[in-house]
Amino acid sequence: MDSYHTPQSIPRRSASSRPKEHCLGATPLQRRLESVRKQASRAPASPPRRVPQRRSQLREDVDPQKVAFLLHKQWTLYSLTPLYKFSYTNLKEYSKLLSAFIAAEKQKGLAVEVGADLNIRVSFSALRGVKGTHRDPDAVLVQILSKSPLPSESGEVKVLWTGWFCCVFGDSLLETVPEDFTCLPLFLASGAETSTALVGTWFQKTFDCSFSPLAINAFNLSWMAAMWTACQVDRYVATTEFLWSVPCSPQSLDISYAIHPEDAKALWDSVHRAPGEVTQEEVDLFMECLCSHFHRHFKIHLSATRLVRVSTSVASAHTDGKIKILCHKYLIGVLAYLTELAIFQIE
Amino acid sequence: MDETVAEFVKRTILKIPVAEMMTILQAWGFYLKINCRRTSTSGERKESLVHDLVLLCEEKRARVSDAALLDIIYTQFHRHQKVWDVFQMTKEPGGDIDLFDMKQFKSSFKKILQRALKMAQLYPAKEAPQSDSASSHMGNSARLWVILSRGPFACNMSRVINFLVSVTFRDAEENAVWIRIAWGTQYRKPNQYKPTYVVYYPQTPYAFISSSQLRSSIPLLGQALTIASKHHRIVKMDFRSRYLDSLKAIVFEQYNQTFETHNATTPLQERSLGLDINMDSRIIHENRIEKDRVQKITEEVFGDYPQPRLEFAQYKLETKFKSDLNRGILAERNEPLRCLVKFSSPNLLEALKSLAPAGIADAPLSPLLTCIPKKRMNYFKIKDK
Amino acid sequence: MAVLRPQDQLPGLNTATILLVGTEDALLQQLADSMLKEDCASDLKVHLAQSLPLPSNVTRPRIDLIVFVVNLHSKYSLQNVEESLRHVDAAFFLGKVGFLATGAGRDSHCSVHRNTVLRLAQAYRSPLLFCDLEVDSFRVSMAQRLVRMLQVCAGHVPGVSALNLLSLMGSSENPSAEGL
Repeated sequence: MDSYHTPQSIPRRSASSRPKEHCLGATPLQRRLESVRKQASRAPASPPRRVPQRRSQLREDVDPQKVAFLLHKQWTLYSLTPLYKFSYTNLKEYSKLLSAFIAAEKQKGLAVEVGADLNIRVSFSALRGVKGTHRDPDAVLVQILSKSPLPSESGEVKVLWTGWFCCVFGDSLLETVPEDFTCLPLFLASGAETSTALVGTWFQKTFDCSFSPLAINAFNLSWMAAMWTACQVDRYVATTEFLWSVPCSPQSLDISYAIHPEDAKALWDSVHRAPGEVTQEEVDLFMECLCSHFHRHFKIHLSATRLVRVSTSVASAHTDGKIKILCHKYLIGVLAYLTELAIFQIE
Repeated sequence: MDETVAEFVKRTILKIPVAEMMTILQAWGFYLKINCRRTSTSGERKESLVHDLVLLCEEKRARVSDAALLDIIYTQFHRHQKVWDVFQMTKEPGGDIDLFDMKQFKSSFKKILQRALKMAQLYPAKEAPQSDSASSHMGNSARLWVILSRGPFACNMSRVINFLVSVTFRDAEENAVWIRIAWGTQYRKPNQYKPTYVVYYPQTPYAFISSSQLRSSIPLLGQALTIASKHHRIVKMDFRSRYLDSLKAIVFEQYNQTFETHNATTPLQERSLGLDINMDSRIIHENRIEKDRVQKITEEVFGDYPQPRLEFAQYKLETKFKSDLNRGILAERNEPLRCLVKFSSPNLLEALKSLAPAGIADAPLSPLLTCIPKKRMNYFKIKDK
Repeated sequence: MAVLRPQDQLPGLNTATILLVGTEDALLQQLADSMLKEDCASDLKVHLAQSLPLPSNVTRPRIDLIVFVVNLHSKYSLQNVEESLRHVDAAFFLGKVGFLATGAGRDSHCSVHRNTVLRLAQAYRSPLLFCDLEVDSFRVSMAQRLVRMLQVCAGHVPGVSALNLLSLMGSSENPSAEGL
């Protein structure tokens, strides 16, 4: 052992644990990051007083029945740049045009008359209330429906594909959206990928926008895990589960680490300090606690592995950009965080 | 040939991949009987081949048991498609040492199973000697045997018996016997498409049973197996995998046979030196000693032979949260943290072996993980002492 | 445990020694190989360590530059670097320490935010370089750059000292753009 001490001049504190104090020279990137953090802290994990406020929007305008189909379904996430000359008054028109476009694509090369009888139909509608503030544009729902080819059958329609566009509490993050543009940065799709691609192509052509898959990295998954664990859920429907992928070769290894939701909540409450704000420090500590408990048993450093999926009673999210929302109460809160990630990606 | 038998034959043949068709068919005794001219199936469309085979089977009046045998052969080839549970049987101390007679085993297994099933259906749940929920313990089989042979249903059973269950045997490598059981009820013929498989190694206390949704039948199966093999008690071990051969290797401790010899010929020192030869002398690894230590410990624990193949291990933890990070966290909470941890990998033990050398885990790895082959378990419940 | 000090030994003749610290064994090895392929008038020595402190019972040449490699995909690698930094003498931070963050190219794999390493480098007043070491061409150019830095730190470049280099590298307004 060396008898010298580490000199005092060396800064000792862990830089990562002090996000606020180290506000660096304000590059646009950092400003945005700060704002994402701030936003995040106001998302579901916010103080009980603020949560209902945020939800009231949804409650006034939207019947839970109407958004029920958004829950319990797996959605693939995309970010979307602002739409040029999109108008809520033209939704019927868009339905016809997109139907025709899809039909034409399917029967490649053959010209198809607009509105001609096809086996599929597209419907555009506004999902009123799925937004954070009045300044957020209304969410838009697009569905591809099948019409029975046999006229005798009693017009039963089957939903082949569903996608929706939304912006929840996006206004505080978006600097200025020029006139003629509608910003619906978050796009969620469920159904055949070929249909997603077709709809995407049509939107790109029609509204001069561009889609890109929205992956969720481990850093953001940790945030989601912490925020969703903090939520007051009336009834737990799922355990709090973390899925880690271990980068070991030649054999892959997955570790599923599920915690009883009540215990996860107790851990969070023990880590959480100031009510009303979730800090990076707390999120880190929460994850470190889980990792250290795991290490005590198995001697494996989960922090050296990759977090790929988080599931709770509120929602579950996969790093591939797949999400499932389970709890109606926190629908808006989850969408707010996803909107931030989408905006962060497009900017 | 019965229509259902034809369908069964057809579906079984359809399952077989074309590449394996000839190998599997030639292992099937009935194939010789149908006197088929084919010795190769290459370049032929599967549908027409299946069609021809089914016709031939019909001509030669194939029975359910013939088709069942083909299904066993198929399953032997594709044993990894099932998940296997390990069962361990014990004898009472001082019990007689019996000589094993395969013929007798087969016939008594079949008889006991049929009777047990019959009884279970006549006296469901309450009066059956073992209820479904009674976990894996199926003792008292000697008493049961008495009940079975003396009970009111000892007579007149044979008429309905064939409806309840169909049992097919096939002798396999290392004296093992494969048993296929298709379950039926009083009212319905055995369902040939959801059979249970048992692989039993005579004169050992171990049997491997494919897991199925028909949980209620497993205790009956256990009884039949225990009595027929002259044991007294059967327990389901917390040990399961797709890889039957690996389970067998672990249970019979055959996996580390190569270890002794290999270790003796090449000591660790030499092998790690061999690695360094192509290294640039201008690169200096500061943590060499530590790395060698990790390597050495890993080999001590896992050996340097290929690990038997398991795909998962599961731990139910109910331990108090303790952390050296921050003393205060959950300190006042007395309840344990309830966790369920599941490790899954195409080759779990091999993956675990690579963790410490990759710097992802400490060396030695936790005994919870390294004890799997020794304890013959991959389902654990962990509580604080 | 022994604290690593820059002036413990006299420099070897025309020798420049770099110490790479990080949990990513294979990446460090590849980076070392790339550095040694560089055409360089000094005799290069590359020491690789998973963490600090270094074993004390060995003689080693004077270390002219320490580079801490953080894999943004692994929080453990960051924690390891943070832990190791405690075993470095303050004098090293006068231009003889650098941070290298790898893995930023695959954002979906990141568990460490870029700003976290940025703050770490700031706190230690040392330059931060970003480079995806898994990409061959990036690694080669990073190796080139490290060799130049090393030569300066070893005093093999007349007229430029490690401290000069530090102030040069630190002078850019926006350290986040460094090496991107």
